[in-house]
Amino acid sequence: MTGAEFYTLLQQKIDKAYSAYIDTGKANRIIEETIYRLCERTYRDLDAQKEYDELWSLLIKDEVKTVSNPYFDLTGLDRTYMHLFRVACTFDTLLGVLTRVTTGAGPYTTVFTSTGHTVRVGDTIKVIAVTGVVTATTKTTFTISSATPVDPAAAVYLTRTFEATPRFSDRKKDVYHTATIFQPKYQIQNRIVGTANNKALYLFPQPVSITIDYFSQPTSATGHIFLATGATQITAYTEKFLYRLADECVMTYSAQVRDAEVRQNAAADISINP
Amino acid sequence: MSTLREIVHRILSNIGGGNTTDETRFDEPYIESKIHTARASILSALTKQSLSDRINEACVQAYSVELLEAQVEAGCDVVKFPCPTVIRLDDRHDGFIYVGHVNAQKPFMRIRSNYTALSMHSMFQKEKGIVWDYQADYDGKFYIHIYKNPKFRKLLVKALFNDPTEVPNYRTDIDQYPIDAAMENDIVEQISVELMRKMVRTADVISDSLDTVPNKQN
Repeated sequence: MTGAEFYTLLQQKIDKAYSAYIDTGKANRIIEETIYRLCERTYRDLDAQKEYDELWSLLIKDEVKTVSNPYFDLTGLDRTYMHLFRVACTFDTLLGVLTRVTTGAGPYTTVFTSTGHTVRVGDTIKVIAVTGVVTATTKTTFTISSATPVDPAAAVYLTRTFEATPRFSDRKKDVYHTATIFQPKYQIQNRIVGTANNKALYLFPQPVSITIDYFSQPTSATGHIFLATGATQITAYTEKFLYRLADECVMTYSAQVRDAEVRQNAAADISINP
Repeated sequence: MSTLREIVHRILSNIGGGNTTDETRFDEPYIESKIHTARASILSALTKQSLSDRINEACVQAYSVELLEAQVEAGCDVVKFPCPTVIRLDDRHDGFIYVGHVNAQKPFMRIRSNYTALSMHSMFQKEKGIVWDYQADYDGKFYIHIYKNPKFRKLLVKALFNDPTEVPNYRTDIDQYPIDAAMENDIVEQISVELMRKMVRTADVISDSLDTVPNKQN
């Protein structure tokens, strides 16, 4: 369905007597208002697979962002942030500048010497930008396999990711509510910069990166746009969602013109085809 | 067997009706602390039933520690190794299983607690090998004191610790929590029931110094 086809559908659903009021400009405004509200309402009921399927283009999963401050401005995400699903924080723990011996040629095997280490098989080790997976350990050494050779003298880090939970301001005093790398916390708050108000995700303790799942705002990108004159196929929403959206648009319109009968009919349509 | 985090989430899943969300009023470290204490009391109760029973190796943790010269007090005849606190099994036994050489084949003799200074002196005269005891030090931490060998630097300890996460080489995120399956079940059920009892009472979220359940209708 294109935006223009959606416009025709919308006109058919509204009494012909009103058709004169639904010019393309007005239709665009009704569609914009309604799609925000419908997406929010569907988000609230995001339990069944049906809702996930309908909102698939707005559900952003596993977006990884580097963090260089104790906060992350949400404008830095790929899409416009609306609601948070999940945040995981990745931390690099310094193991030291360890003695190492590298052999092989893609994959490379490196044996690090470290007395009293707590590295386990399956851990991820990072040396500058090269990462490797631990394949064996002894009491004083651990071995990693990496696609590229590790730097011969740089510091070695243990990379671990932990799911974060919300931090509540009125519970910060609670000793069990203290953030640690094993229990990282996040808090959404205003980061005031001069006169600007930045919606920011504060992270405790500061990670090196976050992996975030969130609900994004409907966008006007190609395939998403709902202009009544648009000739491009709307691919970001399912046909089922678009028909529901048309019914919801009629509801929005009927409220504007105060037509109880049209509103009642639209409500009945939505009830039959939720 | 399970990691500490998996046990925490079993409990959260129990009290959440099979579902866990981000926004629980119970912080994970709070539940972790309850797991440690439940483990200690269950171990103590099990041992009291019969001290002749062997302690399940799944509950025992081992760590070796090597002191650097900078960690040794110069001129002192006693060598001190930091050691987390151990479980008290009854009024005569605590949770130490092995304290000795790092080859795990040479345990050292322990000085019985509450020895008088004279008795200790007598023991030092008679005993040829290394002896040790366990006590708090000036910094409030607990140490294993090694006597009769000021050059001793490497020690292996196996014990039932009060808080398994305080053992130096323990990884909370990946290592198995030192209990067996039966104990895990007991711990999960015990704490779940306790938390569910607490959840009957609504959380006091109003900062009014009354410590009463908020009445939303007022």
